[in-house]
Amino acid sequence: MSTKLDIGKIEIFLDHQGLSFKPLKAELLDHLVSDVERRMMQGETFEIAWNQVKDEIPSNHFKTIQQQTMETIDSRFRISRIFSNLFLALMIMGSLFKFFHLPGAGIILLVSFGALAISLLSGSLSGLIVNRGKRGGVWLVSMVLGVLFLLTAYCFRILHLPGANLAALVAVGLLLVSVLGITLSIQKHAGDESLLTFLHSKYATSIQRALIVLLSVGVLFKVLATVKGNDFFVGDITLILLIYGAGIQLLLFLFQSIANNSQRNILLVAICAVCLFLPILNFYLPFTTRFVLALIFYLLAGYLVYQAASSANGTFFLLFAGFNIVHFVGWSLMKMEVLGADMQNLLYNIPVAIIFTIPFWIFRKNKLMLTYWILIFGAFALQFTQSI
Amino acid sequence: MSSKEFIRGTLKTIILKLLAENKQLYGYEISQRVAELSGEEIQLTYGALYPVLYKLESEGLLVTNSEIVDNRVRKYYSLTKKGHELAKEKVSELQKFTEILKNILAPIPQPKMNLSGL
Repeated sequence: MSTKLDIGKIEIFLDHQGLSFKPLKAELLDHLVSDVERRMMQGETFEIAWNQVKDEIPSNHFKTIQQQTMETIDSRFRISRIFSNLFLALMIMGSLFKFFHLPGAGIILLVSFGALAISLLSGSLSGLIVNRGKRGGVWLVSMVLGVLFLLTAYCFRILHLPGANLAALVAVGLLLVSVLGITLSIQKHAGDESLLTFLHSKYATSIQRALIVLLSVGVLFKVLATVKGNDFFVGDITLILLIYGAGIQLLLFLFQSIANNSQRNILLVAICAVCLFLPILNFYLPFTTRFVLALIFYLLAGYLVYQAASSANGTFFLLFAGFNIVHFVGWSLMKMEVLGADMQNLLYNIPVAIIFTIPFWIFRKNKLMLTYWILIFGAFALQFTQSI
Repeated sequence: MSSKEFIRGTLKTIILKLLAENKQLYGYEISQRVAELSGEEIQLTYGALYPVLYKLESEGLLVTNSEIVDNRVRKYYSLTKKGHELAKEKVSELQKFTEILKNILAPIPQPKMNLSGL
């Protein structure tokens, strides 16, 4: 029978075939291993059996299957995709209106949030209907509602309406309930994929693309506002959304990649989630508390990403993540007036921004490290003359 | 013998039929059952099997259930109520169609020519 080491070899083969859709990859792994096992039971050695199985696979076969499979699944979620594209288009348009002081910017931004809400709702409802048999539907609903309340809170802030803080409080409660539920569910049913992580693996690539657009828009507005001396409000709202989007994406990646293998790491992911979501309540929590929470998040998430990614770029990751933590501590001490230095100085921030850009190239092929870095860069851009 | 076109047109029905007769099956098991029942004449490729399974799942005809087996995830497929109904319908349609085909493909008896009048 094949040993764990043998399975590792087949897994590496699948990685080299360019399979990125996790559920399909896991299924093909089981298929290939079962085939190899059958041949080994007929007396072949692992090497011979594995070579026989490999020889029967036409070149680029798995990539084609993945493409066909994704097309099949995607047709069901077309509405969700249309609205997520609409959200990005309106977001950019609304930001441009706001920047050029044109009328209607606020309404466009609100409609863009509405489009995102419809996209999230239709995607998750389709997911719930199609995957009725999967565990954790309630945690999916809780997570989606949490994000919707978060959007509502920021809409209210844009419109200066009362109730923004209450919406944010409900959002944090729902997001924490969702994370707690997933954590307990994974602890109870180790290896059994929850609906939330299953659906996330289908959407992860599109979410990553949306995050990069949000980061670009946010950073562009910070730069333009700095040059023209405009207010930073639009850029800051965009970057806050980006940070929470990237944070949730990172948490779900972590739940998927490590939580099934290590009980200790599940708790660390849950602590990360608490440290990510609590600072949303900036109107209740003093800066010092938010600083400590963010620091714990950076440290824990960095450690978990480093552990889970097992990439050749691990040393670079530690170096850049360490640099970010030093920068963040420095910025926070300045903000708390412990340090007298001026970290808002362009002469300081331009070289730092260049250093912070390098990891995008280095980590471009590692989704975990890339997501962590999108979040870090978003936070760095937000810290620069933060208006909210 | 087995042409890819024939398999492509009937694979959905074959999978539904196998799952209707079994509580649950995983991908490799389905391909082995098909090979076994066809006397090794039909060997399902990964490319033929998995996109169809995902399509059936997205249409609400199958549900899945994952289990850890020997350190790897095994995904089992089973029919939903709608899947059971469609399996019956599709199998009966295909049986009818093969009967029709049989009739079409059976050699047509040639009418005897009467040469006596010549």
